[in-house]
Amino acid sequence: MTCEESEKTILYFYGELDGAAKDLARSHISACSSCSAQLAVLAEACRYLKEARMEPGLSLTEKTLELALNARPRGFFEVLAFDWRQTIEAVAFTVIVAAGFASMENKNAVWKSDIENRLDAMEYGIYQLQSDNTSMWQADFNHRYSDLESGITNEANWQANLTNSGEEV
Amino acid sequence: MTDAELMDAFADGESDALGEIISRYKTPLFNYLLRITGNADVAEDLFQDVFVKIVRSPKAYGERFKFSAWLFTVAHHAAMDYFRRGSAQKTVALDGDAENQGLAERLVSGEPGPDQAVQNLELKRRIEKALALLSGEQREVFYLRHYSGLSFKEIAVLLKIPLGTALARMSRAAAVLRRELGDKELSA
Repeated sequence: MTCEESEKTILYFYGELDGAAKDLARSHISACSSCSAQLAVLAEACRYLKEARMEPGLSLTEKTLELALNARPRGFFEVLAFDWRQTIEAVAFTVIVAAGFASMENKNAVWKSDIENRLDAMEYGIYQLQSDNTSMWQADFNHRYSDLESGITNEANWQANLTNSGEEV
Repeated sequence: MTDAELMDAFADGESDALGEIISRYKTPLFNYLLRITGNADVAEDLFQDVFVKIVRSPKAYGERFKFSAWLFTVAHHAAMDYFRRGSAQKTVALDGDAENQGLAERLVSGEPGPDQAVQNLELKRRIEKALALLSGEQREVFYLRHYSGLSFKEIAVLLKIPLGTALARMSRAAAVLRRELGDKELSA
């Protein structure tokens, strides 16, 4: 059966009472079998927990420290100073990539001029074709026009001849 | 240096200060997590998580709290998150099963010797068994009080419960231990 004063006994056991409250608790415990038994149980349990505690290994401590330091938020310059190796690698990578782009730019110029040349040639060809077609069409037109013109002329001459022959009769 | 001074030093860039903090609290913090989770591997993981969270905001606790109160608050939340994630199903029970030597046995086991030693060993096993019978709430208060060194008032603030509730849980924990161990065992 738990005594009504058990909570005060607990506070007394853990040293959280002082002055008059402490004296009162001490007096009560000495007169209460339930509270004194509770004290004995707590004392035994705490003694056991101290004996049975496990010591974390050195590896856990070192690993925790390493993880925690890496997780710490850092300023910009601190990042550069601490991660110097990574900084050098980053700069080297940037230089390599920039050089690569520079060389590709030249290749692009050559490639580009080749394409442009081909486009120019193609454009010229189309122009030539258009020009040829135009010439052909023009020539055809001229030819037909001259035919037509000849036809009209012949017709006119024939009409003229007809008129003249009619007057002679 | 005090804990606050060490944390200030760490916040100012002194990495050694963090090493000192870890050394100071490694045993009580690790054993608290071990007792709460019942699994040494989980306790190690949570141990690391706690300090990672601590360093991400080294001045978060401000001047209102003791560093130890903040440390164990973070540890308590880490343990609760672990249980909430449902990972607790994978935890080996503290008293173990037939196949695995339980953590309790590892904590208690020792070389057989004279009768006194055997009697002590048996008592230790009974204490371990009694501790395993504590409810989650009783365990929380009991182990926090033992390992953190915080007062019941500080523990009540940490757990966000009234002081009376914290004391009541502790009283019930003591009653469980007393029922399992019996008055005669301890007086022998």
